[in-house]
Amino acid sequence: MRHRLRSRSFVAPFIALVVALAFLACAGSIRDNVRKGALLAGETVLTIDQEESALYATGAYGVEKHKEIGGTILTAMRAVQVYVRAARAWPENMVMPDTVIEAMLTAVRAITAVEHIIEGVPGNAKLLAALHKIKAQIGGE
Amino acid sequence: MQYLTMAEYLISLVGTIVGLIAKLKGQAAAAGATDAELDALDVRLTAAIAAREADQG
Repeated sequence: MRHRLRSRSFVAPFIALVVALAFLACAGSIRDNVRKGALLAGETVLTIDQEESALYATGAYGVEKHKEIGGTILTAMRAVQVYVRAARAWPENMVMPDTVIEAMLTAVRAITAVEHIIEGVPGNAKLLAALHKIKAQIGGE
Repeated sequence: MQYLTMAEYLISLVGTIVGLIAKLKGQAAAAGATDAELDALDVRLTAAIAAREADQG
């Protein structure tokens, strides 16, 4: 016995199913991207921390500037750590929690603050490149 | 326009969904960071923050 699918009543549930699957697919990939981005951002902020110490050791700037830059890097590391923890705590198959969005915005603001303070420092190319990279990883660009 | 029987359509739909789920699971395994990686990074960040705090005085 052959049933023909000619009824329009079937179309709406089918579209709903496709849309639901698309949302599920997006939810999964966004979570994966955020977690991967958090991992890369954490690695990069650690690199920035080391690079700044190395640059200061060359005598590129004095102790006062080092403390000023160090303060902003410290804020950035704390913000990225909060972001890493928020990404880690994001349950599977859930939409993005507000904590992730808030942590993301805070981290981008903290990285931008480091960028501004680094701009006038001699030999800052590596640091600026790493800061640019970290903003892209978090989603600030 | 070509019409499918209900049985043909259901088989096709189930096959598509199973394939899609398998593909998504494969992508998730390849793309995402693991909990262990994020935990290890958290520990390293905590150590770096403590060192920077000490440096700041």
